[in-house]
Parts: sequence; structure tokens; C-alpha cells
Amino acid sequence: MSVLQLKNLSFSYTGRKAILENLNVEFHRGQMYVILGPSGCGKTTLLSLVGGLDSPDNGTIEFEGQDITQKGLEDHRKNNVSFIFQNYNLIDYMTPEENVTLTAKEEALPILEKLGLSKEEAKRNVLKLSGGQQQRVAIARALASQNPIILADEPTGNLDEDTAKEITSILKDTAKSFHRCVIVVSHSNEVAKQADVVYELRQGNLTKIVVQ
Amino acid sequence: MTVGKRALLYLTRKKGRSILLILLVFVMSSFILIGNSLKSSADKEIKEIQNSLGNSFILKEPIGLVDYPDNYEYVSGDDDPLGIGVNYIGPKVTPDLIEDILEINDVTDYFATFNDLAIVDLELKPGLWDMNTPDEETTEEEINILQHETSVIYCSIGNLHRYFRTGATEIVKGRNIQKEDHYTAIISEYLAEKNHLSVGDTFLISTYAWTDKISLTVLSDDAITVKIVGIFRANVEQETAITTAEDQYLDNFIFTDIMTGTELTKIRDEYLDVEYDEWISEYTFFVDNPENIDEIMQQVKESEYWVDGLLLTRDKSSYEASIKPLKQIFILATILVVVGIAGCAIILFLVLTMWIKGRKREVAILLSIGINKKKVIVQMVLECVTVSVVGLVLTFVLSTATINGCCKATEYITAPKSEDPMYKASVHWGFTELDIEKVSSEAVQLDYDLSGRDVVWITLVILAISTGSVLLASNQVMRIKPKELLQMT
Repeated sequence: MSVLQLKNLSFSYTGRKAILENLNVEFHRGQMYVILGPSGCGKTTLLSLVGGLDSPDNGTIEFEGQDITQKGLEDHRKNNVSFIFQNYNLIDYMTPEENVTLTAKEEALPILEKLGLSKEEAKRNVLKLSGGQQQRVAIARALASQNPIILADEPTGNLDEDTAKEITSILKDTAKSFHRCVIVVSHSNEVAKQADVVYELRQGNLTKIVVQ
Repeated sequence: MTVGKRALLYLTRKKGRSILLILLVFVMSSFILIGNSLKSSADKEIKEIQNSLGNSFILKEPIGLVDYPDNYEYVSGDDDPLGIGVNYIGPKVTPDLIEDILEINDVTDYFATFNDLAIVDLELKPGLWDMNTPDEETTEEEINILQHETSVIYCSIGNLHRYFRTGATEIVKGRNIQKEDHYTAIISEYLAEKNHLSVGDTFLISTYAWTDKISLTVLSDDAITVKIVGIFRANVEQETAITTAEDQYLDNFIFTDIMTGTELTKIRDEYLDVEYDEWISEYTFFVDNPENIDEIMQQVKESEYWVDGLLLTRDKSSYEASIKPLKQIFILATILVVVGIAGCAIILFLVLTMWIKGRKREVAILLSIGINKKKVIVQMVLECVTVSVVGLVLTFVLSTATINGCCKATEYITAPKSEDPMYKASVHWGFTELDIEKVSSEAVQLDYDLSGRDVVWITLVILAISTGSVLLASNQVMRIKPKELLQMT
């Protein structure tokens, strides 16, 4: 059974042409999905809808067969999905450990250590960490929540090439080792090469593609 | 992580902002506290003064030709033995009415007084007649008599006369006139010094009559010897002119007992062969509880012995001027409290709105990771309440120093200058009495202790303002969709 199913999903901004048109797609645990597309094609919008940050004009989003609006979008964000953002979006006055603890259903330190942060770094203010380290904290926060779906919006956008590779690798490992459904939105082919499934979003439609 | 933990982390990690907010709450609540304490101190003082000086009402016959011409009939010939030209025909206060009033609950005592002119064998403060020379209308003998004519105030209890109650005059030697006194008097320091008199000495008081309506006759054969039982000081600056007669100088006033006054009146009426008419026209009644005065006065008017036309008023003369500076403080302090609360509300709202709008990113992150709106709002309310409580604790801990400092400053500002006269006297036209007005008061004494009630209401006001501000401000942010919030950041 798919963990996430989009059915006839459509969305447009007021007074504009539809940015998503009748999308039908399923996502499964244990897989890393990458959605490619040019800037402004609606990738982030799609992720926002899937993550319960906004509501579609038409269609449904189902989590494990149940419409996410039934229990409410807040519940969906709390229990079903976790976000990783391009600019990390960590709470700037907290430490990595505290950021992870915000939604953690398990101990924060072991996860942070697994992702390469030392105890000392875990107790430092997040602004004192590098970009790569901050993104690891964001991933740790997503993992600690134990939510089955992880949504990453351009997670390597602000990182150098090597660090980007590391983060992408971590995301892939997260999907496999932690049996999560990881959906990454990106415009980078390098990220797409690591994915199990790649979609391209173009003119409101999602098409499965193969990346060479 | 719990809401409380998040709130605590914010406050402890964003120390600068937290301290700023605490200071803001401290300043605002101190403002309100100072205003409230000044208001309460002034109110307390006003009530104390009212209790000591505002616990009486006056029952008076409407006398005075100028003010009440309808209460007089013009007489001439044999109908005018006193040579005054008018007879009083208005309503009279009767002994029955006085007794009925004394029966009313809370009425404790009364004070009676009447004034008249009399001739004394004392050297008076020179006035108009001292400069006069005989002419066709006034003989030398009459001028000599008038140079010894003064105002005599006959009263039942000297200390209850308003000159003494207000402090316009005060006994400096001996004692004042008391109930049951007969043939006693008190004179001014001026007269005592001028005539080399002291307590225990005596002098003569004589009444007089206009014989044949044109000649002034002193009934010296029936002069009454009065014994000086006390000497008073006049704390009054009196406006005078060359037309101020001897009987209009407060320094020349004599106070004596009612029985002596009644006796002198009878002597004159007997001489003129007219029926004795009591001259007491004003009675001051005292009550236990000033708050009941209005009710008591209503009961007086409902007495079967009440006569329409009699004057019944609260005796405000004694305390109105005393509370004037306090009333000003009360009004200013009330304005301070209102402005403080309004200012606090506006400033806190603006600061908290800016504070919350500056946390849009944080709100967006919290919403995106599944923390619901209510919990985010609760976190902000908790932060605000914590800051407010700390600010309030600081306010109350420092309240003693703050309030005392402000009270002292207010006392200093409102203290009368030493060269300002406390009282001013002016002649009341048509009657043998001075209008004495208190023009400045003693220095205001403000004394205030912070009460539990004040702590509670100020705390509630500040918490209501800060919580309301947070809710209003956060409502604006929460209306924005999480996605849009994230995009804004």
C-alpha cells in the first residue's frame, strides 16, 4: 500500500493559470523520490500541498488511504510528514539538540551523532554551525519525529558540491535504513541521480523520467 | 518539547529583548502605581479632613437685607424703636426644631452663635472713626463712642466657631468660651497688648440704643463686666481701607458667651420697651458620620417644626479650602492613572506587535513542523505573562522607594510658600462679621502603603493589556497561511 497518494490534484494561484493539473501519483516507504523541474514550475507548491501547508483547489491527498483533511492539516504536519528546507529553517536561539527535541519522539543526541554531529556541537547554538551541519540537524529533526514521510525542498540548494553529495546520501540512507518515504524537490540532476524514482513537473503535469 | 520549555528558552536566549520588555512593564506599571498611590493618598487625606472638618451642617435664618429683602419690612416712627429702619419677618429657628434635630440619630451636638455691636472700655485698633471729626450728623461724643464700638461674637462653644475650627484664629493663652460660661470673654493678642490685659483681667461691655432714632446712647449703667478667660491670635491677612471701621477689624473682635449676649440684648430691649427677640440666627449641628449628612439634612426638612425658607447647608467652609490642593492632586493623579493605563496599552501593543511580527519565521517553522497554532499562541502569551510578572515584581519590590519619592516630590511642589498668608479676611457687607477665606493650605502630607488590593488590580491591568496585545498581534500573524509565512521569510 502506498503511504501517500495524490488523486486528481489541481492547484492554481488566484487569477493565474493552473500550476498543477490533475496530478495522480503514489509514493511508497523505503523510496527516495526526486521531483525535478524548472524554477517556477510548481515544485515547492506541490510539496506545500503534500505537506499540508496549503490546500488544493481540487483533488485529494491521502495518507495511507485516508484523506489528510479528515484529521486536519495540523495533525498531518505533526504526525505524517516532516520538512527539510533549503535554508534549514532551524530555530535560531536553540541548540541542535533543542531543535531536534521540538518534535522528537525519541532521544535527539543519538540521531545527531549518527548524522555526524558531536555532543559538543549538538549543544552549541545552531548559528555557529556550518550550512552542512545545519542541514544535518534539519534531517535529524525530521528523523526524530518518526513521521513516515520526509519532504525536502531544495535541501542542497545552499550547500557546496561535496556537502550536497553528503546530504543527498544521507537522505537516501534515511529512506532505506529508516524505511521512510523521502520526497525531494530539486533542480539538480546530481540529486536526481541518487533517487529511486524521478519525476519531472512541467506545465502542471508530473511525468516519470530516467536521469542519466 | 513543552510549550513552557519553549517559552523559557526564548526568554533566556533572547535576553536583550526580554530585559527590554521587563523594563517597559516596570516603567508602565510604576507609572500606574505612582498615580494610584498619589490618588489614594489624596483621597485618604480628603476623607480625614472631611471627617474632622466636614462633619457639620448649618441651620440658618435667611437674614441680610441685601440678600433677602423679602424677609424684611420697612418700619418707621414708633414701630422702629431700634432705629434700624427694618424688621425681620422671615422664618425663625425655634427651640422645638432644635430639639427635634438633636433627636436625630448621629447628630451629636450643636453650636449657636450670633453677632452684634457693642461698646467696650478698651482702646481698639484705630479705624475709620479714629480719623473722623465731628460734623452736623455726628457729634464728638458719638465719635468717641464709635471709636469704642466693636463686633462681639456670642457663641456657645468658642472652639466650634468656624474661625477657630479652620485655624483662622487660635487660642494662645488661657482657654476658649465654653458651654455654661457666663460673663466670660476672649480678646485678641493685639487688644491684650494694647490695653495691658491678660487672662483673668476684666473689662466692660455695654450695649447701646439709638435714642429718638437719632442719638446714640450707651447703656453704660447696665454695662456687664466680663472676665478674660483666653487670648486669641488672628492668623489672617485682612484687607483694609480708610473706610474700615473699628468694628470691622478682626483684631478688635471680642468673643463672649451666649448668656452674656442674651443679657445685653434684653437690657437694650428693656430700655427701648420692646419685646425681647432672640438674636441667634445660626446653628451648626455636628454629626458622628459625615457620610450620613445628606440623609440627616433630609430628615431635618421633614421635621414637623421645619419652616420653609430656613437655610440648611453643609458646613463646607471649614474644609473646602483645606482640601483644595488635595483635590488638585487627586485630579492630576487620576489623569496620571488613566494616561498610564492608556499609554501602557498603546505602547505595549505596539512593542508586542513588532515583537511578534519579527518572529514570523519562527512561527512559520513551528507550524511547518506540526506544532499547532494554539500552542504557538500559548507560548507567546506565556512569554509575555512571564515578562510582565517579572516587571511587576520589580515594580512592587521597589514600590516603597518609588512611591515615597513621588509623595515627597508632590508635597514639596504643593507646599505653600512661607510668605503666603494662610487666610484672608474681607468685610461681609451688611453684617457684623468677616468673611474669612483660607487661601493656602498647610503643606500636604501624603502617606501611602501599598495594599494587596492595589497589587491585584495593577497586576490584572498589566496582564490584561499584555495578554490582549499578544493575542491581537499574534492573531494577525496566525491568519496568514503557513505556506505564505514561510515564503515571507
